[in-house]
Amino acid sequence: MNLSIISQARRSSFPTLLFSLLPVLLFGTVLSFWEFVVWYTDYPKSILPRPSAIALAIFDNWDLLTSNIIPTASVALGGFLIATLVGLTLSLLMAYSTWTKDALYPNIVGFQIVPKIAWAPLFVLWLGIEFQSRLGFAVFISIFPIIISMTAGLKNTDPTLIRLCDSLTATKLQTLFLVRFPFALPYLISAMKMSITLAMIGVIVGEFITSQEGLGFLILVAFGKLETDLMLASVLFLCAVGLFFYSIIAFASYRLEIWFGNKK
Amino acid sequence: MCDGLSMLDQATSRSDAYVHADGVQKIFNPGPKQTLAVDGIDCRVKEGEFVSLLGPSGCGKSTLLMMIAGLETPTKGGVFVGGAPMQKPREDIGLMFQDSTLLPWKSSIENVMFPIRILRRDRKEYEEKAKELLKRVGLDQFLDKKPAQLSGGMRQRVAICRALIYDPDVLLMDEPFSALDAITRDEMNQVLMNLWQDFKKTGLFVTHSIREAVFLSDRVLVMSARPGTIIEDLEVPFPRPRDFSLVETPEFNEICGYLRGKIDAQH
Amino acid sequence: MDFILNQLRNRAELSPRRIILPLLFLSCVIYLWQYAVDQKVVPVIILPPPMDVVHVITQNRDFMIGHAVSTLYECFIAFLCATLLGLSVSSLITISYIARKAVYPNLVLFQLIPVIALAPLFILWFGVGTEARVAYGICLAIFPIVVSSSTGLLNTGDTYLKLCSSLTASRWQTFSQVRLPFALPLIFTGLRIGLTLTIIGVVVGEFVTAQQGIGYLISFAASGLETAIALAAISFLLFVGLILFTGLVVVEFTLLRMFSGQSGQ
Repeated sequence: MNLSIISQARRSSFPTLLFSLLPVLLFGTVLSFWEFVVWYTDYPKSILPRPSAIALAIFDNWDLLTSNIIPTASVALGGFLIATLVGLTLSLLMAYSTWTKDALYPNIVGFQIVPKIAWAPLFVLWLGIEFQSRLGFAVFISIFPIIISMTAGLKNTDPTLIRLCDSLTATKLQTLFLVRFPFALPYLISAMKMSITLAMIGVIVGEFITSQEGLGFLILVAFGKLETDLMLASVLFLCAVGLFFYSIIAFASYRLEIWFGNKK
Repeated sequence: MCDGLSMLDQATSRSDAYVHADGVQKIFNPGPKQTLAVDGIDCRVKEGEFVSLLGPSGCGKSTLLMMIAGLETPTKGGVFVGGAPMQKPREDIGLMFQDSTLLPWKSSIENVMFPIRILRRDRKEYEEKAKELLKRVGLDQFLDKKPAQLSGGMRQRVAICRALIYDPDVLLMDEPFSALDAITRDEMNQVLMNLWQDFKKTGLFVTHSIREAVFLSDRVLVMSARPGTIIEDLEVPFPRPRDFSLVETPEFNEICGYLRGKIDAQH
Repeated sequence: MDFILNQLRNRAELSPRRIILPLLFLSCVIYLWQYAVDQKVVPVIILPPPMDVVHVITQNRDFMIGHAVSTLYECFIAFLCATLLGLSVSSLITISYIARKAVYPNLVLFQLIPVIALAPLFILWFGVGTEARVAYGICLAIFPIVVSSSTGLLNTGDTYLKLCSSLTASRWQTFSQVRLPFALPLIFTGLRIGLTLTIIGVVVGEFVTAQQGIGYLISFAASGLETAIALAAISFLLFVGLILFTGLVVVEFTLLRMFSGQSGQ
């Protein structure tokens, strides 16, 4: 009796275990296949280094890599924060005054149809080759999702709730800050996720165009010396920086869910 | 002469009607594609009276209620509450919706205190009252719970407390229980009935449930659809306080049957 | 883009104020720009007068159109490939349970890689020609397409799926008759993000490979302090983007109308 239960449990848990391991297995298989093929064919390291070579490059260039994190991460974070603050202020202003919204919003939306990445070289021309141009560009490309998403969020408040506020003789400002803004917070969080990714893209492209420091610069240097292993190592470091920022925002989003009472 | 008469008429109506919709008409989207939502509505509610507006969906009951709340302006006619014409929302009128419209990030007690915050009244003065109200509706164990952790019926109880906290003279209710299941709905009717016994507000209750209307009201107004007009004005004679055994009596069912006939005659 | 769609849908909301105000604001900006240049508040190198940009456009029209066509072509090819590839992968993920369990978490992980940083790798692998830029564009665009469309395809309403199995529908029938139509809005959300990223990919590719296309023109002009040319090139890029997005929106509208019959209002 007991035995049959155990064997049943085993039978049912085996596939679940397998399925939870599948992604890891696939990842591992691809890595080992990559390692093996490159080793077997003796493929030039400068074109496709083995995973182990990348790991080795990280180990060998640890100081170089870590010292280049700060220039990239700080500019991306700064750009993101400025974009969030300015974007938020603008969208609140537009939610408060329909005149401002009617005048500004179509222009903002129209402007954002132009692929913003194309402006990167102009920022170098305007703000120089120091960090200012990269900061400016990061703000520029990461501000749009905040404005667009927050404007949508502030507009999408439950109309009955607005009626309730009206019936309580609430002022426009009270309704905006006590009801519409908190209701739009989930929109802000999802916009921030997009925004931080774009700020990173902005800084990396900025570093490609002109820079003496940062992980993007390191990628170009490694490319110039055909040290592809170092290049991919820098990309991995960029991943880590992106993941770090992203997880902070994900945590904020989790706290927000709790605040909204959706999670205990 | 004519003007004098209507002035006189208005003056008398003011004396006995606390809420008075006077020849109200509402047209949405004026123009070639306009909709006539309500037309020629005359409705009076005395002070302390509880009146239900009964009618099929889309007959303009809610529109009428919103005009009385000052959230919509009538195309023709006027609305008077407490003798003064309604032009914009006032603090002496409380409103309840079909949806509880609680703020999801606020606990029950904070939600009840929300009007106090909006009206910039003294928090301390009302905090005890808020707790008292929530206790009255049986939510003393749920003061710090957020709406997502409450059932639909509990949320509407919080919404009732929120409408009562700032002590409005008139309470307007727009199908407040129609999203609830039948059992909870009966429960909520009893809760409202008991609260009414103590607070003695002037009430206007929109519903499409005949039973609910008859059970709760002193008077039932039946509305027809498109355009909404009042086709029946019926006194409900049962003494207060009422409890749910009332709905089993033949007299109660006779009134319900009569009203059902009035509504069906519309089709 | 959503904004414009919405504007088209509720045309009733378009009051004269909503047309005049933005145009007024725009003219003020252009006037201020002209004024600032005239009064030498900003040097011409930083901000050339608006008329200079127009002048550059009219003078070098054919030259710029050539570069724009090259960008348009590369974007189109890259986007088409990314769409086909992305939709195949997400269909596979939807149909096969094993594929879903194995691939999906890796996809989410992959999305974290700043693909933009891999630009030099593509030069290494594909040279400095069209192939490199197209491949780079595909690589950038494919992830949002796959993630968004698989989310759409997997989140079909439970009751609809139960209905299908009660009707003993085959997997393919369930997929083509129920999952796909329901997922269309999300698929197109993914495609719109994908298109934006394709354009980013091709333009950054043009920055880096410096061979041809609008991106090359912009970076070349900017490094030569020819701001007017750079701005003119950007306005051509605007047209490229508009053509691509209009095409996508037309396809979206047609498909949605075919399947739901409600977007036609």
